[in-house]
Amino acid sequence: MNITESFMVDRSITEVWNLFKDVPEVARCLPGAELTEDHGDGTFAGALAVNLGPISSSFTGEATVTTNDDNFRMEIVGKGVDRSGGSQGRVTVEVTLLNSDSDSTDVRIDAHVTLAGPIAQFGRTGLVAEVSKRLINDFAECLHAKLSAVSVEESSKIQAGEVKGFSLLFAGLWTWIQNLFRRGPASSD
Amino acid sequence: MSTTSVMGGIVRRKEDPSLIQGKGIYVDDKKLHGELAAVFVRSPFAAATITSIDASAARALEGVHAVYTAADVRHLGPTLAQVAVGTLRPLLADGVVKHVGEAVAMVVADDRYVAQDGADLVYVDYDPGQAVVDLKEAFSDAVKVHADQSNTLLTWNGNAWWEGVIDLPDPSPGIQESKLRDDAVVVSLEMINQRLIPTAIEPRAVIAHWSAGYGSVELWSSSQIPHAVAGAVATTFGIPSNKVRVIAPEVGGGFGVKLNVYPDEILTCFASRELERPVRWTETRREAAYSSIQGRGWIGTATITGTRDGTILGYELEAICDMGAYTHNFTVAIPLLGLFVASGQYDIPTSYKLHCVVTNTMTTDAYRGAGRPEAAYYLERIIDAFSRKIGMDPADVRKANFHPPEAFPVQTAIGLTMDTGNYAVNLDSLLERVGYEDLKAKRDAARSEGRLLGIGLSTYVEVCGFGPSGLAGLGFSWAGYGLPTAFNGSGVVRVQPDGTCTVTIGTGPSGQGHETTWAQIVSDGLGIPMENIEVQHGDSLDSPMGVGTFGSRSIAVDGTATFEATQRVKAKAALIAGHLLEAASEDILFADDGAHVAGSPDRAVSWGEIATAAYQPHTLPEGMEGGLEASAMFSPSNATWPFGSHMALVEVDPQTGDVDLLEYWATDDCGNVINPMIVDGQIHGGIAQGVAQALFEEAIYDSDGNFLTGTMIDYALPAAESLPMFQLDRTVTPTDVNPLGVKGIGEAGTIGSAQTVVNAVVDALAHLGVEHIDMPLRPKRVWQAIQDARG
Repeated sequence: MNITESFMVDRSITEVWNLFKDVPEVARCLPGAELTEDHGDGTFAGALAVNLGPISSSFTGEATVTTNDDNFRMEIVGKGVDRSGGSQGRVTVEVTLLNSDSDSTDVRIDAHVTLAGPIAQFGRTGLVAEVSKRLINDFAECLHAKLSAVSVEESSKIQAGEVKGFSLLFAGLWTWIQNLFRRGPASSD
Repeated sequence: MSTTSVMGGIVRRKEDPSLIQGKGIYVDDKKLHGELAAVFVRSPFAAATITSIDASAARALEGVHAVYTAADVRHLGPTLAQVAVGTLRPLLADGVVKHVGEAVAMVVADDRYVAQDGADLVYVDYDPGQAVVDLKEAFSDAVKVHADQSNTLLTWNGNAWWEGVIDLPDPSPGIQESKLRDDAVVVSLEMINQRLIPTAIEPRAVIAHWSAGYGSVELWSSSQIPHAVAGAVATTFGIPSNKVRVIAPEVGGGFGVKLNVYPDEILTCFASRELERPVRWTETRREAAYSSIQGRGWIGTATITGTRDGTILGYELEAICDMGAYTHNFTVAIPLLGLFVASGQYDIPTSYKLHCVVTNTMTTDAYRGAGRPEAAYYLERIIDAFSRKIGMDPADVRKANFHPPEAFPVQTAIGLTMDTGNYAVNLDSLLERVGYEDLKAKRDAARSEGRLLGIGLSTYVEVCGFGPSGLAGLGFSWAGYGLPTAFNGSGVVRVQPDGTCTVTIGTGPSGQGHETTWAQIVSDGLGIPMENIEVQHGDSLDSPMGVGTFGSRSIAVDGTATFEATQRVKAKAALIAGHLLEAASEDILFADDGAHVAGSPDRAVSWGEIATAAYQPHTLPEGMEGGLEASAMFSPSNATWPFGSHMALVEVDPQTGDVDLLEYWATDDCGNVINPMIVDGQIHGGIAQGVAQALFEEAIYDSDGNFLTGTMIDYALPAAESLPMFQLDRTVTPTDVNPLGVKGIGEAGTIGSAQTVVNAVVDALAHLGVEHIDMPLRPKRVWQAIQDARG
């Protein structure tokens, strides 16, 4: 599943880029994520906890981050396994920064998420897709807030809200219900 | 006076008291001393390379006896298949996985809970690849399911396989020329016949006990085909078939899902041999949904070329049929069964092209009807569309193209011979009972009030009673399991020394009431009361060499064998009774638990007395051998061809798209009927499953091959309240291929019903511009179709 988010911040591209290169800081914006180890070579160990109603998944795995200072592009390739539940997830996130003008930057996040195992089989309602979108959406919002903060101090205080699955679940559910009553061809049923 | 049944009478099922009290014995009720339990580690990916398997933590867990992977069982070869076209399923995934749910490792432990804990500790590292799920994408071969191998295993197009076995018909008999006629009307529809899960109440279960001392193995399995499973076990392990005993005790529903040999049946035997302990495995409901076979899964285009007077000049069907990833029992042969009845009841030039295509999904195989519901669906849906296009009543169009009764035996489009049929009489009988003209008036009146009522009609032909020994070369045998027997019927009838009777048969029933029906056949022949007749089945060692229960075959084939065996016992018993009564054997009549001389009911002996004499040979006529039993094997000259007509009345809610199935009528013809109640029960269940396909059920994989319908929350089975009372009736056109004149009824309801309901819904919406809606017709889909039609 592909998820795309974009937003604009009133910061120069260099300031934004510097934040993105601070991986631990970025990780704090991903709901439920925890960075456990920095191997120093662009690879990181971490964990991601997601609770979806009856399914509580705790993914542990690795992410490889590659950055390109020339074109302000960053790629994060992550792979996580929920050893107790048997679910597996893979995600590729591409972050692209574009100069809007000297004082503002367009941030575009393209995520490709592959889920397998019980979490991917949870309901045919598209709920998991909605929750994944919500995760990326919260991630983008948090980054946006960090980048918009007036001071470094304030910025570093901002992090993703603690993910109690319920808020995610209900947010996802609400989007799903809205889709249900939208006229026009259904994306899934 | 004790009651003896007469064939054709309603007799309550002998097996029901134990079953409804929970006192029947299923595989899970069979407990063995020292048994261990197995749990499988299954792939979460639809297409992936296995880069490593780390089972060390699982092996270290207290109570775990073994963790097996492909490396341990590779030498046994793959899971055997009867029609081995395509890639056979490895016992455990060997380096690659091809669908979600594929078994990767087996953990054997003290009990199921420890085994599950162990399975959770087996770490498999996967490198995911690209899954192919969409049928058209698979057919394009853009991405291969199995490396270096076309996704299309085979195309049934008239020149495959049966060359030299039956006469090859013209693959497209003049149809293209017909389309050029000035008066030709061509109607075409692409339709999906969706994947289904054959949901049995009892999931599959096995327990294997390999005896090191005797060098033999006993396997209890919830199977429809115990003899075939025994053949597969013997062949896989390289031991003689008489060292394998497979027992299928009570089986809680089959519908085709248990008409397969599965890795677990082999692997529990293997583990039992290795560990010298009995090993059990019981399927979870999710496993039943995604790692036992599924059914249907076609996307196809049906086309009719005809003229405005209702004459059909040609019928064409081209479909891509989903085989799943691996080949099981009959996999690629399921579409072939559909082709057997591709032209239905009609004398119409027929052309067909069925592509058997693999995808990264669970294997498909026989699900109740097996190819025939799919074939009937495409044909009967497009006939409806054609009728609407030319403005003729769909019943009249059908009648205009029927094979007339005097045409039988009829040669089908692909060169088989249909035994008997009386189609117009059957349909007229239905129309008269329904009050078709009044029903149409009622529908039209409702429509003028803005209510959306629709009438749906379908006829069907089933082909069953397999089968003729001559078809063994076409795959109708168990040669693939090392058991080269044609699909014969078998039965042994033995009168015990006390005058009771034991009948052993080669079927593998899963709720069809064989114990009752077969007892009726024997009781009718011998006059032994029903309660004194025990019918046993499902034991590869103790039953006669049998084939199992599937394809509506049991009564026509094994029922006939039991009938023949009964006649043999009767002939000998008449000699004995004649001797005891000092009368000629031809004057002996059997009734009321004994025999008497015709015209002299007082000159009688009981079955107990006859049997006592039989087992004390000095009391028998000079030179007669003792004992009173006979066996018979029956190989029919042809399959049988039941048929029928179904009708439904539905109302669609224009606001919500909800379909209310108001009425359902069926007039089936399965030849002679032995127990009308059991036949009706089979039709009830069949219709319910067909209606379920039309309205509720759909097995769904997403584009990554994730299986989304693995629970009963996500997979909608119909409940009793979803269905109306079925109004059944029958016509009787006996077959001439067996002396009972019976044809078989197990699948008829399923074959006739899905398109009947869809035809009704489309009839309700056609005036709005709706031509077709793909199943299942859930409210959202119907509502959407109404919105789209209204623009």
